[in-house]
Amino acid sequence: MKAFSALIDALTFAPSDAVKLRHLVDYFARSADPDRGLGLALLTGAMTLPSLKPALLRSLAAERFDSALFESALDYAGDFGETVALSWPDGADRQGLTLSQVAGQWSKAGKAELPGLLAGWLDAAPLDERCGLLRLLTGKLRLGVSPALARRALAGLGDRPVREIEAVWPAMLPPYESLLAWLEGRAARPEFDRNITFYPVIPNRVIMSNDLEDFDSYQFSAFFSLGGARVQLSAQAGGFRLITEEGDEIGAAFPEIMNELPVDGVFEGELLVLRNGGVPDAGGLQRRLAAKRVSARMLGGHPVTIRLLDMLADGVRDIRALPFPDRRALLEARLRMAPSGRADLPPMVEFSSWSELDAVRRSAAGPGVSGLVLRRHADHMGEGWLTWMREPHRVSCIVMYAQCGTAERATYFTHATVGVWQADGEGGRHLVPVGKAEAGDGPEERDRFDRFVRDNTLNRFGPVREVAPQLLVELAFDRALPSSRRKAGLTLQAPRIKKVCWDRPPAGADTLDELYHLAGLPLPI
Amino acid sequence: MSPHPETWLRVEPKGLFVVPGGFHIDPASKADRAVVTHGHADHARPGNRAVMATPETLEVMRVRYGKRAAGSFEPAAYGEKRRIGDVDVTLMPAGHVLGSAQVVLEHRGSRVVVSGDYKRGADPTCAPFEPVTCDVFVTEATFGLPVFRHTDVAREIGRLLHSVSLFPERCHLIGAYSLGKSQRMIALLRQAGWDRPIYVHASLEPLCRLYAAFGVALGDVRPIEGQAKAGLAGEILIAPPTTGSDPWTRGLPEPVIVGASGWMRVRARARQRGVELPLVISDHADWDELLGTISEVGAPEVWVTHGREDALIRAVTLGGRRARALALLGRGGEDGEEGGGV
Repeated sequence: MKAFSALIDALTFAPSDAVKLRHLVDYFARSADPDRGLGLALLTGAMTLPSLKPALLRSLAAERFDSALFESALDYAGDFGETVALSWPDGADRQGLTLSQVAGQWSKAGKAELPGLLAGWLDAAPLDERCGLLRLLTGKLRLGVSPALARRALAGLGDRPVREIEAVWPAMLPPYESLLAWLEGRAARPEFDRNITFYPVIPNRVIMSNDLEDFDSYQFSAFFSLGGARVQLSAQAGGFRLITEEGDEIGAAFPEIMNELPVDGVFEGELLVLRNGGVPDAGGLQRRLAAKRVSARMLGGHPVTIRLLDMLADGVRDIRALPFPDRRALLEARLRMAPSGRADLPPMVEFSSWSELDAVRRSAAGPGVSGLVLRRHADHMGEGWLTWMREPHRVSCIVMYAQCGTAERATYFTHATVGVWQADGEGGRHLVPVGKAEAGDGPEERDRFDRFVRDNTLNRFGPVREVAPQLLVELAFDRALPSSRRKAGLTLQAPRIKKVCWDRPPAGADTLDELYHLAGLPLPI
Repeated sequence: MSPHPETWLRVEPKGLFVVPGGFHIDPASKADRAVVTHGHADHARPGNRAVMATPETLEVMRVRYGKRAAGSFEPAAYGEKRRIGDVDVTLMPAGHVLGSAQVVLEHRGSRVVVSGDYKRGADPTCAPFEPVTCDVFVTEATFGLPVFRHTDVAREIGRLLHSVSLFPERCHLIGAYSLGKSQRMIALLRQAGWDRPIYVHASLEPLCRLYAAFGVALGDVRPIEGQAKAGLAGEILIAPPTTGSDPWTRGLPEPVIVGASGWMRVRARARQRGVELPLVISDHADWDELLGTISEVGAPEVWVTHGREDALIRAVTLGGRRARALALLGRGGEDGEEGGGV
């Protein structure tokens, strides 16, 4: 387990996906089958082990350690498993453990055997493997290795495009020996059932107004988008799959979609959590997307629906060659036959020219609308979905706090928290934060902003600096959605600083009431 | 009957005072006479009237404090017995940094050894710790918790070199204090076969030159200043600890921030420091080494100072020896927070 322990340490401290990929590919090189495939499966969640009960670990610690010493150690380290692993007596000539041994025996052991098994492993393992072992068994392996990232790492290993990995992935099972053998050039491409047609997830591209100049408007259909999570729903031959744009399988976290949708076929749509009035709850959706398994409370509190945009297969019949309006008609017919409270179809937007559609886009009704989604009727070039975002709103804000940016901006205080004025009910007013965004377009402005922060720091809170409220910025954002978690009562989507207004006085910033009005949201009571 | 050390050693605000000798050990502020164990800023302060220490320690103090280092210097090599008042004083190697010493005190038949900061791990830059039997062993306890296990330094250097080969387009920036750790890192890298120039921050240069002057081979050590930063891809740099958000690091090719210290052993603390590659390389004894040294020295009584006393006292007591805390104030300056030591 030496390489696996080293990998999880490296992933813990990796600052970016690019660095993680490098460590993953290195791990494949340094570890052998079947351990490396098992390691990958454990990291992505494709494989899970029964979790080590805290009570078991506590009784083991009580047996082996003086309680006062252990308490002092735990106080400092903070993590029970880590404290046990580090404090465990060392010995010479430890032969170590293998992942296949641990994964195999732990799953099969009876409840009474677990303490002895664990103690034996801790006695047999050197320090680094003990730490890795306890992290594994206590389930602390959320290291940001999604199935999509894993496939990119495998693509890197075999120097092949990710699409090729995605094509065989559905048939691959841990420990992925045939897949790894193919990628290392030792074997042919793994066989998969060629009777299953592979429907690649339709790509999505954001376009600007001038991109449409080359297109004929009558070749397109358009709908309003509520900015949900773009997914492909595949319901065929008794099997359901829900796949994201990146190719991750998320069906397990959305039982209400998987269980309640009676229609057969392959569909594209967007997942949404809708509140009263059809307003999307972006925060709620994020929470659902982040949860690997979902509780009854979550299902009740954040119910998900799917807004269907396209149908790619009618039952088992591949209909991608049909023009979009025909596919839409088939989809409408199917839903009429089997209506569901979980799925709906957005109405098509009528338009006869781009300028007419643009006018619709600018005056888009409803606070939840994020923009328009366009689909070419005959998409032979595989263009996919074209997203035309609505015009961003603009609000004047004041810079309240700043911290250092990332990568090349790691030494510049350009990551700003901005806010607007709020009346405090006694005739005065104070600032309330509404979002965070990067300031300083180009090196001169970046330097000027950084200098401003350094020269006007009122207070420091760790890496965050409170700044004198004197600097105005123009903040653009796509939508504002209600959020009970924010002080302002709303959250801004995609906030970005368009302009730093060095010469405007801070009194010119907008108020929170004005922001609510701008975003089309009702004022909170 | 020899007088028990608790009758002739006293804890004062300045630090440990040896009464029959009239001197302090590592006084925290100006004292009349001082015996200094090593050159780290929280042990070696400027402005004492008379200072006795190893020649290396005195030289470090001269380099750091210049004229105000001390009124007068009295060099004492390892093993040379000196008389101060009614006390025989001998400095013995402590293995912490170049010139670091334990202070052996003998007064009317009773012997006390003050360890200062020490370690038992391999270090090509200084003489290793030599255990000396005594009646009372006064030990540091920087890493006095069962979770502190330093393990094999050569393996940690191996991890660093593996990272360098894994990320050839980036530079590796090791955060290390200017006295001891940085020179040890350089020497360990040379031992592991790293022959390339090692680039150091300006604040590290004077002590690197001092080590070289005392015969420690560091190889090709160059200043970072004056280098084209973008050209440092694939190189190893050493500088005072930084989280990578200091302005002087601008322009460095995607630096891997390396932390080299005993604190890196605990994940939560390593994350706090903002490092990407934590290496467990320390200039202090770890838990096993503290207990092992106490056992090796064999003193019937142990006084614990400078760190986490409670756990160590308990472990020593469970092992059948007498132990108590010696509360000394003012430690933990140069070597980092949490009671000092790196």
